[in-house]
Amino acid sequence: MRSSVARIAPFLVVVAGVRLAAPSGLAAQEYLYVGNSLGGDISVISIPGHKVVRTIPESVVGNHPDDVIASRNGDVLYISRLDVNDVIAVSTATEQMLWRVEVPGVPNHLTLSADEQFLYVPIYDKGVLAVVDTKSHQVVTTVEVGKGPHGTQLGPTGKHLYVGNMESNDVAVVEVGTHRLENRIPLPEGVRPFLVSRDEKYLYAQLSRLHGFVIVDLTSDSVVRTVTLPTGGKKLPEATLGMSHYVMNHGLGLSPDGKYLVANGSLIGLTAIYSMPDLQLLGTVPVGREPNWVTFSRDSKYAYVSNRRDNTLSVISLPERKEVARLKVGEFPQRMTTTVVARRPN
Amino acid sequence: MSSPAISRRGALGALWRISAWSGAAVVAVLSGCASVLGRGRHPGTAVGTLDKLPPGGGLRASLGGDDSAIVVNVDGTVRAFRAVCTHEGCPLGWNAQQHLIRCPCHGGAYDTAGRVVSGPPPAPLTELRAVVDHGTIYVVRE
Repeated sequence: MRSSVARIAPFLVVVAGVRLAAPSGLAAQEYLYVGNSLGGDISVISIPGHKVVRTIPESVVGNHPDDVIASRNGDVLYISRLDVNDVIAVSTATEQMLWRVEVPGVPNHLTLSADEQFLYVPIYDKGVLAVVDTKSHQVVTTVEVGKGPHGTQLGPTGKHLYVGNMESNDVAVVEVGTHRLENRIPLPEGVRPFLVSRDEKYLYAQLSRLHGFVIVDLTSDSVVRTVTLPTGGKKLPEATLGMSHYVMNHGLGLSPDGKYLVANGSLIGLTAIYSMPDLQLLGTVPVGREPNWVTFSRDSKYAYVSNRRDNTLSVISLPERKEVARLKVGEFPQRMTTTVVARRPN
Repeated sequence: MSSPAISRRGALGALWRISAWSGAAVVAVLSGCASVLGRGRHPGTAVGTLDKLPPGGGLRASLGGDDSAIVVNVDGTVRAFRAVCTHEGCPLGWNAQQHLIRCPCHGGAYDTAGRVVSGPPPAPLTELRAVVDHGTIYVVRE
């Protein structure tokens, strides 16, 4: 989920134009940036070659990165770091830190505003959303959103930011223009990865102890359907601390072309592919151990799944519905993003 | 008739040499056994050497399979903890700058006694037995 492309679907046409025009005589290329949370580095993977071409080292990142997202022109990576309660901006051209901002607690999954002036940072241990001005590099305000804010998604209109709360079991809706809490939508369990439909009528959410996901009607703020993920013939394992037992599934994404919804079955090592909008199961793909995140190539041909327990990345062909490559990346790969980059270090 | 005398001396010398070599061999074997038995007293996994873990230091070490441990040297005392966060079971890392055991999932932090310092973990870490033998650190999975 949450390639920088997928998160800003309404702006894709404009963004693509900017991206292709931006390079000054150099061919822009798409890359996947994979945050290796235990290793403290970022694996850089070429698309569509699917080779690990470089690693942004621990000396630049470090401190257990939680999330990595990209600016729309691909110039900047924003990385939240768990150990030091900050967000750093890293240039994709130099792969060096540009600036950092301290936030008031443990930062989780990031989202940019439509105009990229603001970076939204959920602060897990403080129950707030920190709003960072990307120009002044300051936290300009915080919004109380609930307990255990974990994920964030910008609605397709760019007017609402959705924040999934792991501990208060709800989704907070923040009005972007005023940075005010508008609503809290109760859900049956802790909210894990989620996404908002392109028409902003539905929200799809993985929940802590559900092997599947729920569909929330955003007009009635109620769960209208629960989709149970297939098990691929496997038995769901017993809960143990050694298997991150409080999260059955982690990783949910909508392809940029809107045709596919991809959901990870984390405890049984598979990824399920659904057609959209009818949510028909097209197939399941065995991946590595404890798949954690889903993101996509810009052309929607590939889904990428980080397998955090075996330090690999699965490359899935969406039309073929099969894994076409499995790459070794860094230690404990979790969040990742794709973006088109004009210039990278040699 | 000198031959028998020489023979006796030779035989005695040979006997002495055999005894000496046998004694040495027995000592060597016993020494080896002692070493093996010594290791047998802490049938753990060797995770490193003390000279690489100075006071204030820490490391993460595999114990085989998914099991790993955080090993720390606190003022000369080596302690080991199961590297599994009590919040959600994520594997833990060592932050050398902070001298803290950190979780890469939701930011939980533990000190070098395994106590929760900050973040969502509900309980301290499980301590494992650490043994130092001839400079090698062993961690015992129990």
